[in-house]
Amino acid sequence: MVNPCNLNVPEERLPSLPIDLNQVEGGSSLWADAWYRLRKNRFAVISLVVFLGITLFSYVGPFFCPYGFEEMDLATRAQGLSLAHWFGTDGLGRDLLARVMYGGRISIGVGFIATAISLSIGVVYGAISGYAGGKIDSVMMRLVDILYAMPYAIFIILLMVIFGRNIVLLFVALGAVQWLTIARIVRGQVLSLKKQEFVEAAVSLGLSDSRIILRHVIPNVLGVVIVYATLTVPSIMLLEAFLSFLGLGVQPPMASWGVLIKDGAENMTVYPWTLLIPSFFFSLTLFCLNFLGDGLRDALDPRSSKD
Amino acid sequence: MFKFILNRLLQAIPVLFIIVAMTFFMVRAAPGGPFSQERKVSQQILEKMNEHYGLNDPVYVQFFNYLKHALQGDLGYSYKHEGRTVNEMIAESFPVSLKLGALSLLFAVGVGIPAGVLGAVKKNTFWDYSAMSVALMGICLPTFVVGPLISLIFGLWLGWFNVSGWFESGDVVLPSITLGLAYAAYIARLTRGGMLDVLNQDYIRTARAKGLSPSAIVWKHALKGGLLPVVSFMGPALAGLISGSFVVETIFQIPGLGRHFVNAALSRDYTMVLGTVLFYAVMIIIANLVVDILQVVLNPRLKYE
Amino acid sequence: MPLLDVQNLKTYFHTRNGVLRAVDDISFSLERGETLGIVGESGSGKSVSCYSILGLIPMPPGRIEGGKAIYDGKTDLLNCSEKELRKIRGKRVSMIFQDPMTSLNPFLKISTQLMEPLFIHERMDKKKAFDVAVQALEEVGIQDAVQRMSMYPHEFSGGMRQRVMIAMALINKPDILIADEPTTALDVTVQAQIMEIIKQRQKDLGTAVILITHDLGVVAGFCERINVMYAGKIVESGTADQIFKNPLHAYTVALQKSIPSLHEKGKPLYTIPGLPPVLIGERTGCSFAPRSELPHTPEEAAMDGVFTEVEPGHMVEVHPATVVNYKQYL
Repeated sequence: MVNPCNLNVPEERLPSLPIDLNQVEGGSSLWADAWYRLRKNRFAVISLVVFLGITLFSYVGPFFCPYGFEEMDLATRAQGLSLAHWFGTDGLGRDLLARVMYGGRISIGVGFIATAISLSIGVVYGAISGYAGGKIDSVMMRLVDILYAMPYAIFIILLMVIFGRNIVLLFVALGAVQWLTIARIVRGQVLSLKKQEFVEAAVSLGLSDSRIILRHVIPNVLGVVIVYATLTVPSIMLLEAFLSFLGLGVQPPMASWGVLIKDGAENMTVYPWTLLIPSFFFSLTLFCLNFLGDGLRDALDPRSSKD
Repeated sequence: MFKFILNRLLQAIPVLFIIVAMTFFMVRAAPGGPFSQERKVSQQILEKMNEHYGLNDPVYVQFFNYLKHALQGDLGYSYKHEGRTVNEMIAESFPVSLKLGALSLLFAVGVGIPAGVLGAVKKNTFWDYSAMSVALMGICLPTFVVGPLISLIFGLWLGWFNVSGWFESGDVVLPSITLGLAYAAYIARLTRGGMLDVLNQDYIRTARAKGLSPSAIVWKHALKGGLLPVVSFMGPALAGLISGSFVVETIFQIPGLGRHFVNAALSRDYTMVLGTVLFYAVMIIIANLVVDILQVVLNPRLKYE
Repeated sequence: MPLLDVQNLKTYFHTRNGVLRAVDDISFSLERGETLGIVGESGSGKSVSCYSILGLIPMPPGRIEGGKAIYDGKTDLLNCSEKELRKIRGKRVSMIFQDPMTSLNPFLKISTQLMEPLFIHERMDKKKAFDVAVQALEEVGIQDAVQRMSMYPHEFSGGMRQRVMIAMALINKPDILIADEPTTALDVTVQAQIMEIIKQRQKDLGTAVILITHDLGVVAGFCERINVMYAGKIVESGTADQIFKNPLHAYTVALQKSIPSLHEKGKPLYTIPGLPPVLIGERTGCSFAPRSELPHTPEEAAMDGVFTEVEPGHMVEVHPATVVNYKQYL
């Protein structure tokens, strides 16, 4: 969370491996156990509910809102909170409620799409590295080590500057820097799997590599991937907001929460609510996702739960 | 020890090379040259400027020229600030950023370690829960939310400090807290975790059996081991401080290197961007080396590899 | 007057699953210079009872529920202030632990750790403390002591570390040394050396020793008196002769049968049937009855044992399920 330079989720925050969630222990599968433990964790449940609420608010809310996010009305500039404009309006007379909902769409959307990209890269990279083994593996992992030390924020800033502040590129760039930890985990799993006898047996029976990976690696890492994704979404949202705040991310008239916070910060002396409201939604979302991620970790890996 | 440092520095060379190469070619691949935005420049002058800055040579020649100069410590002239070298600009603004970074780190360590120790020693009490809840908030609140907020509250509403600027000695307070807060929170959590691990060790029982007082046990016997996770966090933390400084220097309008970098990036000042990235990379490598050495100093079981 | 007189000590752990009665009403005493063995399986409460005396029980979950431990006729170690207790720990009563690999602080030099008790209890100056520490190392058979002082624990072998522990525990010439399984974690070849060093130092300093072990074989020939503990209670106590030549409690008998060195070659090694009881909650009757091979009825097993002196200095928990012809002792 803390380091916008390298937001790869640290391994300590993930459950320890291997957890085969389809495995049955004492009559109930680990999925059921994990689900039970998660429901017991009050903070995690509240976080999930609040996050779903915010998501719904962002994606469905605009249909019920009479104002467009870029609709300016100079007659109602910089109004405080009122019945007509629940969250007030900004310096250009745009309805802040509409903007917060619209900004949420972009921020949450960026988080999920970039996370999906990072997961795909990480899983494929890790699987190849582990499966190839030997020299290829050590070169690939050395590269990961080097990349861990890179100041990503700087590179993304460069990318955005050079190739224009294109939102698709932003998605890809954000996703492209977050795959390191998951690549390491998947590689470790593939490596340990390769040593097991049943895999040798499967190979000798002529089963294809991809089938073996699908059958045996995926179930083992699924739990980790879920937690990883839950924690990567907020870290990508943070990076997006960081860039937008510097004016290098999402460009007006489009709005993300980062853009709204930037606008609010510029005008906070006159209309503080334009800073406070988007900051509240953004921070609350980060809170919820982090709580949820930690809750999922504890649910999937009861040993790691901190007393 | 000397060999260890030398070894590390040798390992840093390929990393640095990759960073410089990536940055250089990314910048060169950009559509439009550095002078294409200036409107009233005639074709002739543009040619001349390109010529002057060596932009008409093949890219690889430019790259090796740049490398050659960089190795001699010469990062070239700024494209945007006429007559000023990148070296000058870094030399001028880096001390500001360094002061900001050092103060925020001081704040982070000064608040984080005692809070973490308190949490561990008074585990599962009111003190522990309140310290850790505050820490969690500090971690979840991003710099660009904290910065405007505390500047709004303490600058504007309460009027204790200037809202922005870098003139009086009091001006360092809000930016340092903004930049250091997340690290204070993180350090508090790491310290608590590390201390809890250590306080459960057998050798703490031995120390108690020797008749040591609780404070001597915490500060003399436990802290050294308990701080190991904090020390290994310092490497990434320093890299994070750099990107944090972009935000904080922008919010509080501090004339540091971070703001220069963002401005250079926004205005396509290629040499300035390249030079700053290279400078940051060297800083990060040195910081990591210092952290590695510190770890060995703290933990006698580690040997210099 | 005994040097240490423990009466009715009770130490319970308040866990999530209930109250664990780790030490449940035990009494024993220790004379000056004497060697006392406390023997029992792991979990029998032998270590907890000694940790309680020094206030080393983690609290919570642990709690000393009652009893006294009168040291030197004056101080009650269980009811005195933490400050008073600190003056006794490491000065009058010292302790060495089972695992020398983890009992020394890996982050501090041997010299720092050895000299620490001298600084806090004797306010000795640095130079003198260094000399005393070097001498202490030499006395436990560590060569090149001066060079060794500036090393870290990981540069020592297990046996060497235990020697350092002994040197550290004895550096202030305490009245009592509590040795908690001092040889369990060590190689067999080193075990005898460590016991020999403890014995030698005890002779030099006149220290009383409490030796906690699960191995009756270690106690034999080392201790003058022996307490046998089972499930948080002392079930038999007496001189070494009484315990070895005339064991009365079925558990003592079983322990003796399971000493590997006394065992005939070729025959399968004796193991005590069953498992130690779970100590959570209140217990009635005899805890050992379910594992005892003596014939007894369920009604008899539910009876409470009576801790009786059967001959001078020899106490046994007399119970139908554990003592042959128990009626003659009541």
